[in-house]
Amino acid sequence: MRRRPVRRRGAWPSGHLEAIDYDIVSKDRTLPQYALEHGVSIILYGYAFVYDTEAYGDNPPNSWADFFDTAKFPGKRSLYKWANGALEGALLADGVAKDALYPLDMDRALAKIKSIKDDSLYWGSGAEAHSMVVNGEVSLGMVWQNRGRNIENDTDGRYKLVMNEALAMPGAYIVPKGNPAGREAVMKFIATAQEVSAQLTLLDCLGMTPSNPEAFAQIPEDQQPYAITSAMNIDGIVYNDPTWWGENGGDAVNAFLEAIS
Amino acid sequence: MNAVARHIHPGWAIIAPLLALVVALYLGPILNIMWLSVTDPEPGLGNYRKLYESDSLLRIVWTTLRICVVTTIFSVSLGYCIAYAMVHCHQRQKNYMLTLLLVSFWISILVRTFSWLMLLGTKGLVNTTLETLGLISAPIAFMRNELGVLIGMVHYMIPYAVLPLLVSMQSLDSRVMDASRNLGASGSQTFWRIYLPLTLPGIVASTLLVFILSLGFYVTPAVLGGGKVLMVAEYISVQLLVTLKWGTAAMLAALMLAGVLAMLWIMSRFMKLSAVFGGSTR
Repeated sequence: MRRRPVRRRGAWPSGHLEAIDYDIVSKDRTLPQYALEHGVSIILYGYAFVYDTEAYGDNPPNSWADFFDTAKFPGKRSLYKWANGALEGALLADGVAKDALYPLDMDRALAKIKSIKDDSLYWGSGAEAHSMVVNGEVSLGMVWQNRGRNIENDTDGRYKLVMNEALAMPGAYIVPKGNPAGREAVMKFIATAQEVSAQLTLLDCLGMTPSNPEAFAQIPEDQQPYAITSAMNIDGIVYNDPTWWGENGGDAVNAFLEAIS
Repeated sequence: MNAVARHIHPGWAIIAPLLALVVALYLGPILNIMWLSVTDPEPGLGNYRKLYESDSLLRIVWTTLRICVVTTIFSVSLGYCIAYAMVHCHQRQKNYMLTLLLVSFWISILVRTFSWLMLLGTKGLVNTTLETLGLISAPIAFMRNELGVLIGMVHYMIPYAVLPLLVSMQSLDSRVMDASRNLGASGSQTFWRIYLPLTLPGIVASTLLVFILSLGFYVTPAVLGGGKVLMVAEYISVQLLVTLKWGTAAMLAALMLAGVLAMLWIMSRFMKLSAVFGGSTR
């Protein structure tokens, strides 16, 4: 059968985006792997997990391997419904090295996901992930890391955030072609958002972690345990590859949905 | 001008703008979706072929049909009992029942869905009570699975099932039943041979209504299914918003539309649809 090339909406050369102007936006004020042609990361968020201290207080889980180990850590767990992060966590749990994750081995990841399917719930929004934990539906909950602090507060410390092997996601700005503010103004705005003061304010307001390395050292004491790039956590984290997700995300999500439903 | 007026009733001039609006705003988008289903990502029937080639798509369609059938059976059966009770009790009680029915009919689907989580969730009222009483040792998994979806959907659909049945039962001539008893039929004979057949148009109307509405259910399976119960509506939304496979989404939407129309057509072979829908609006 003749195969025609498939046009991918997910991949970039669709012509809708301006290239980031790295004369105005600084390449040094973000992580090098996240200064892409059509998008630049201005914050980091990520996937981490919380665990129930009453269930596992004596010997707490500390890695994705523990998260996927239903024998050692019995109880329900929750994962993100749209595959992102859950696939990486599964591969790390299955013994794939941090720097050898991409391209993701889908078969291996899905096999791992399926192995805990009976003990898993899946969430589609941050609020759902949060409420599954706070309502005591799960003992281990994958969450967006910036919710960790609220969850610890809401449960009076019963649930605790684990940042080891947290999966760092680039929160990026992209610039649509022909946008009302114009190309220049948007590039200048992005440059402003890269400044250390702006980065720290975002951290304070939303728990979004700075992606500008100059800001890493200035993350305040009380935010250190929750911030991806704080001195406390930065050595343990794993970086997402947005290029792989751009090219394969659609198929990955559908394969994941097939595996869990 | 006169020749035209003779053939076209001038009344059409009054409804012409409305008709044009309906065609433009209703038919236009539908045709657009049909068009998308055969042109994206490439022209041809590739999206429809996926139905045969992909097990996962078939499984989603199958899950949807299974849940809709079960929901319809339970909603219409329970609805029939409720409608029967309402028709045959005193006016006062009937008003109370109607009020309760309409209140649950008007409450937002989100509220009703999340209420089930509070009642039947792991730490919900029912499980907590049973645990405190020592009747169960671990919470019963009512929610975040297919059972949860069915509970939520049946609960939501019952008012839709009751209303057409209620209208159909109210319009029955009660003297027919009296005549049946008078001629020596027992109560249950009268029900099975007279009452039930006479309310058949109502049953068909409420079955159709519940089944068609169930096909498009989105919120309840997404929340109460815990991510494991994937129905067509949620899958379409994922293909639109997450994976950007608009062709697949359009194909599934077209399929659902065709399914609903086919169902109406099959029904129309067996009975006059005007009687069904006339029965529900009279």
